[in-house]
Amino acid sequence: MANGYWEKLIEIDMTTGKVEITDRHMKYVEEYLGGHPLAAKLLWEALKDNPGIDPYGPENPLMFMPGITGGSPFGGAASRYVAYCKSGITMAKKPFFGEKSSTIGYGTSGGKFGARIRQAGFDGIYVTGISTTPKYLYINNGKVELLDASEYWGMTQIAFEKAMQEKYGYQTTVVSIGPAAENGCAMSAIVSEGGRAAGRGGCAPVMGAKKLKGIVCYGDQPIPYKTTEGLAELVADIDNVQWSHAAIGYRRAFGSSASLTNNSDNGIESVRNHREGTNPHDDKIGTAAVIMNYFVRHRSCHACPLRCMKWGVQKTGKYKGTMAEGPEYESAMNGANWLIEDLGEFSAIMEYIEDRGYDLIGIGGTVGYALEAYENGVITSNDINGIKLEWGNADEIIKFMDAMIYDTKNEIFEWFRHGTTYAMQKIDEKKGTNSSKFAIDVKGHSFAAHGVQGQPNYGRCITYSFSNRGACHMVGTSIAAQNTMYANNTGVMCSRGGNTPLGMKHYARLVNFITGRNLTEEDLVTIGEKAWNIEKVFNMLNGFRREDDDLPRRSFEDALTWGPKAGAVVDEADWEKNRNAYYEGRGWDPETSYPTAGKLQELGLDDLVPYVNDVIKKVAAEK
Amino acid sequence: MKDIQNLNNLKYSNFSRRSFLKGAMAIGGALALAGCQPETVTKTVTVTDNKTVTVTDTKTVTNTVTVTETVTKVEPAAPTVAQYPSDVPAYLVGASYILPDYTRCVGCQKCMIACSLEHYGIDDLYNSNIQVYAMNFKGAYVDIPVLCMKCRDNPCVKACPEKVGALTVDSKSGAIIIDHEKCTLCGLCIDACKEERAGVLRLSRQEDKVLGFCDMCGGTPQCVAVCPDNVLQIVSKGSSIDGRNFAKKPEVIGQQIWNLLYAVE
Ligand code: SF4
Ligand code: SF4
Ligand code: SF4
Repeated sequence: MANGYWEKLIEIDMTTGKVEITDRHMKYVEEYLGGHPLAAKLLWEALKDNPGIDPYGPENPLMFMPGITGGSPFGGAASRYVAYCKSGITMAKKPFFGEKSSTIGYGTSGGKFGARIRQAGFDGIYVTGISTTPKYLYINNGKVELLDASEYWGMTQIAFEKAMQEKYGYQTTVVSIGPAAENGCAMSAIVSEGGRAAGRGGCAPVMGAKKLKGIVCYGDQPIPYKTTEGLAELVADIDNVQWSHAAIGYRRAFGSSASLTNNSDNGIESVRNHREGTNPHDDKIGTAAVIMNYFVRHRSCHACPLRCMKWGVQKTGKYKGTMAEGPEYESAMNGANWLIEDLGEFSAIMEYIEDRGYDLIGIGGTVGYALEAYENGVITSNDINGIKLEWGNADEIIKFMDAMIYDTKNEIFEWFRHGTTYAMQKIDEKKGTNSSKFAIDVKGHSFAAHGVQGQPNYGRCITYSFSNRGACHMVGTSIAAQNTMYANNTGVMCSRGGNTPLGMKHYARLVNFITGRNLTEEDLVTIGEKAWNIEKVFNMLNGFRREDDDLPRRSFEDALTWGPKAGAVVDEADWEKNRNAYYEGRGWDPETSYPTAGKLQELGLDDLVPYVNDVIKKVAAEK
Repeated sequence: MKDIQNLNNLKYSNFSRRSFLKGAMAIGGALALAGCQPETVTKTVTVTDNKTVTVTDTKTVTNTVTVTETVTKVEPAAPTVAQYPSDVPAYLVGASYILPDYTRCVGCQKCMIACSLEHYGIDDLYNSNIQVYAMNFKGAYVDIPVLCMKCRDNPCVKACPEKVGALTVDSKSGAIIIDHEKCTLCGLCIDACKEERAGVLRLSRQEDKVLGFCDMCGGTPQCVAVCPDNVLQIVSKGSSIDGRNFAKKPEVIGQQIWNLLYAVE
């Protein structure tokens, strides 16, 4: 012990209600360290021989993993966790397993939960099975209980948190799902403190299927450091590194909302379902507008000096009194992307999304698709219960989102619950239309609030296309950046400030201090690369192929029509060259996109080679 | 007081400076500041009437630097001489408590980490003398730091049975000092604070100590130094109202601050 790990993993079988403490993760920590790469390995081990399981079924393990630095006193490294499972975001048509095919799914979140799991004496949580009745998990310094949540099912997240805080005290941290995830909306989020969300990746709907309302955690113990000698000095030193980071000033001032006006001015915001890149209403809902008229409170994650979380309240007009955490930059997916032009409406939408537990990025893409399909007559008011789904109409959009959660009779809402691509495929099949151009997805997952047409280089195209959880804006704009990001994810490091505030050099210091190991930056990057390859192979087993690593058609066909980047569009032929270069850089076959045996062996992933060969055989047999 | 809260200086340099000082003090006591070992330390206590205690410290050191301090303290008469961990630096003399600017706390808990690192060398949140509560009222969060407010009527000190006398008030800083040797763990001070004030006291995990009295870190409050948002203000005794006015339960303060920030109309 005392090498950084508690050697305790909470394992819950929702079917039987059994709670066990195991050390399932310990045999992999030397190789995968913690956090996201460790979760990737655990999922691989659980599903490698059965990759086609229904993500909503009992076999899908849902993990909550803080990083190896979780619960430490180092800002940006202390607070976060990753939720990990086989993604609940599925498509109507997919090779191999049809509607059951999906990518790996993960969402990361800050706040306090990642720190609290570790401070409560555990390295993570591993949930399997499906309960028939709603449950919540209560963790308190080494004690774990699975309790009845019937009276809380259907509650908004903020109401559930309040109920739990009143019951267990105001230092208790809660993560939970809201009605969106309970009712199977794939575009939903696991939320803490009203606004810290593990959104992308489709983990929240899996939590909903398991009938796990939330996890309530209190912990106040120091993590099992290898040594505490020099801890105070290291804390002070890391604090200095953070205070000297170039981005700290603007992050403290604006949070991520800094990028609203910045990206709009550069033509790379998500506007009008990614049709445009500059927000015509930026003066009303951009950075300066929200700073001057909305924000009232800064908040921080555990141990972090960045206080990038901003709470605001609408003070005037029809939506007076609505309040939200945000707008974050990604809230542009629910503002500019839907052509919202009024701060009050924006506030009401943000509050609604946080309350119901939607993933703001995912729902931004799904509603964006619906708005454009409606504009083009692909769906009509009759199809959607008389809702007039027009650009910028906040009230009607909220009605539409409400029907997505609560309408169980109208099949179109059932399709929308599955996500954008699924709905698009079903609608086009039924109506004989072609609305694929309005689905701004990769692998079924929505683009985030960053447009690609106006990007000065292919960086964003690379993150969106090759990310293993589809259209992710976070995972790095080059192969090196991606491996580094995954390496940092062994601690589920925060990535505020353009890159992680600390950087690999300091991150390695933290890891080695906590574990007593002697890992170099290169060692950590190799862990990242291994996890990336494991996820890629898992996606292959689920029928994802070269054509899935690509941008939606709009990126090449719809040049921006207004703003400083008017006329900009992605050059498809040139992008194709970049794609080939990417596969070559990864040591993957540019023709199939599949990792080569040589690359896998080089990474010590020899055991994956037969799985890759199987897929190659199956694909050949199709032809 | 803003001067000592020039936190930019403290923020960048404080920890390492403190660590150095701590080492030095372990050898030479507070006067190691003068760079030399103390030779003799004498304390004279003069009781001039029932209420006033005069404490005179005379400390002589090898290079003949002599420091003499005379402090007069009124009400309540301390049963014994306060065992304050070190000399109070000039900027803290007369300071009585730390008042959080509740509207600004971001809930980072860096103060808790700093308090625990200072006293225990590890970030043990349970042991921190300052505790931060993240509270959700009607949809939005406020963060409320709570610590001992050094109430001038000291219900905790009064609750401690006279024959035990484990609690004393430091004459210079107003900090309540607990003598763990004398403390019988009866819990009366814990109850007094819980019933009448904020409820900052508790038993240690091993239930062998009463925790929660803020000792101003022996003169360099680490929470004040580390707070990224200058939330924690050192309030000078002579120029301020009694800290007991703020020694309220976190949920009471939280609701008020929530109203202040988020309530519309
Ligand atoms: S002044 Fe020192 S002892 Fe008091 S709460 Fe702050 S850090 Fe803790
Ligand atoms: S806050 Fe509590 S512990 Fe501090 S002086 Fe008041 S009663 Fe005593
Ligand atoms: S360090 Fe300051 S901002 Fe952070 S929790 Fe403590 S009082 Fe609040």
